[in-house]
Amino acid sequence: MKRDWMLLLLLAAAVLALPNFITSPYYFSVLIFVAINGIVVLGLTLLMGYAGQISLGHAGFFGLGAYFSMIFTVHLHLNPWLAMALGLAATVVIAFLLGMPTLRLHGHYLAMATLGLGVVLQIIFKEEIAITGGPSGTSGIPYLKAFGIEFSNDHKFYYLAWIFVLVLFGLSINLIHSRIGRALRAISQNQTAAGSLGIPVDRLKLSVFALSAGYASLAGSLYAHYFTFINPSPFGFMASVKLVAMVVVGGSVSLWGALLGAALLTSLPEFLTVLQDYEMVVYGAILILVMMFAPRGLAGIIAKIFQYLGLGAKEENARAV
Amino acid sequence: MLELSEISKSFGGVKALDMVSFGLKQGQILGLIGPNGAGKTTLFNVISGIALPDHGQVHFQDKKITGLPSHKIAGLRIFRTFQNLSIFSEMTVIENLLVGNHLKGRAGLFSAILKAPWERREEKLIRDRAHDSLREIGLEKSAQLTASSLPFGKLRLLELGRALAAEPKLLLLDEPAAGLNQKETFELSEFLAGLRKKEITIIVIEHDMSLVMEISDRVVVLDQGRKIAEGAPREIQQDPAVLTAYLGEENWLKTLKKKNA
Repeated sequence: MKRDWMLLLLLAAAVLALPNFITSPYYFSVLIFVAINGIVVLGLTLLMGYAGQISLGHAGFFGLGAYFSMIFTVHLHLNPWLAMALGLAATVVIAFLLGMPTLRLHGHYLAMATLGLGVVLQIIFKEEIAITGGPSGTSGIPYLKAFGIEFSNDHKFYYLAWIFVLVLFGLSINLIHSRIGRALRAISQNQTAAGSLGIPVDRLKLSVFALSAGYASLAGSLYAHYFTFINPSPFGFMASVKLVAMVVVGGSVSLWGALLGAALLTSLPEFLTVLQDYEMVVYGAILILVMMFAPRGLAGIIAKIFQYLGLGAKEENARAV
Repeated sequence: MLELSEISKSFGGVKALDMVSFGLKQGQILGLIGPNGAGKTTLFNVISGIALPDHGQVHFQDKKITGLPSHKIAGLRIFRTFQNLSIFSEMTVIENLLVGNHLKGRAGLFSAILKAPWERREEKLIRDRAHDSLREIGLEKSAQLTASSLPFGKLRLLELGRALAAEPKLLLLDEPAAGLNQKETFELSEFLAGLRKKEITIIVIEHDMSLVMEISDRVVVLDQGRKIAEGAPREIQQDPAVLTAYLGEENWLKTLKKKNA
């Protein structure tokens, strides 16, 4: 646990130092995307890696955050921060309601149900034209402001997005090292045994589902206020699959893996634009390779390297990160 | 403290339990025996809320508990072990015991995320208790090992320790000696004898007859879902119905006869 906080401090230092080495504003935008995806993937890792429940619909919750922020600011002229908070609350409530019947399912059925859920959400974004702007989207979303700073360019927004990552990361560390965090891992390994020890399995699964939807919603709000324009296309099924791929590539039982996975799969397509048409093929190939050769993902590989160098924490700790 | 009345449960056309009734007093150890497929584990599943009976009621401390979900039944401090172990194999030994103490805490997801002061206090208490359990089962040296790296006998012990960590009023043990060698079985029986002093009420399913006969105050015999005998160990060993039920399972018969001799 101490190690996690140390690493988080290091990450904070890196976030502060990095802009000195960045030459092009383009890289800022890539890093902002890493942060935004990273927030969603953090929540999804809590759900998938720790509680052992899959969701193929998280881009939908990401979209809900973005659309709530848009609706509350553009249509209702609320303060962007208030819009973000209201969007968060609304998304969490919606996730609770949708999760209640859905999370009773297991395995493939849960995957299918959440997939359908994500698809339905995107259809709403597309079809409720009066509210959402339909396929052509809505612009004019205001920038976020705090302490007299308007987060209107990439450089400024970079700091804001990463502050969100750092804070949410810290909260996630708290969670996984708590009684509830252990209970989640117990659920993912043996639901019957977890229940027989007094863990309210269904309720906890639902809570984490709602929590991860909340993370996605915050990321969606950031996205909306960063771009000031949204349309339904980034919130579809493919986006959900990419998010799951980030979790898996990172190594699903590691918060650090979540960030690594988000960083790799967010930046890779940016640098390999040649492969653009084959993006899904590349994703598929990466997924298969990870499953075959590194089931514990990037986090697992790094833990192994550290172990090999004799620097690493013992394996149990690496696992518990 | 525990009262089963007319419990029936079918799977498809098979009657796993057929009008089974018996009661159990505080502090007693009850042996539950019977040939394979007699319905013993199903009965445990019914008591612990994993399976819902088709007919009949379970009362615990005069309260009806039939139909409660398993975590609520655990909340009444009824805990169990499983025939084919239910260790969280990818967690460490100490983490398994920490999960065993789950009910000692109340803080929810939100307090956990914010690491609220009451959550911290709770966590400290839970950690202390888990370390006590660790000492009780003598696995201090293995605390940080992943559970899957432990030998089978130790895992049985860990599962037992995890159930005990929760301070059960009623403990259901499903074949605790299965897969143990003679020495380990002996240690287990010592351990269970020690529990008697703590006034924990126990139902134990076991195929090791000498173990059952030694530790049980009373024995209930199931055969094909029906209760065919109930009584003190000595009576059971001479019960003609029991001997008939075991006929064909020669080893058992031999064991029983050996005990009688």
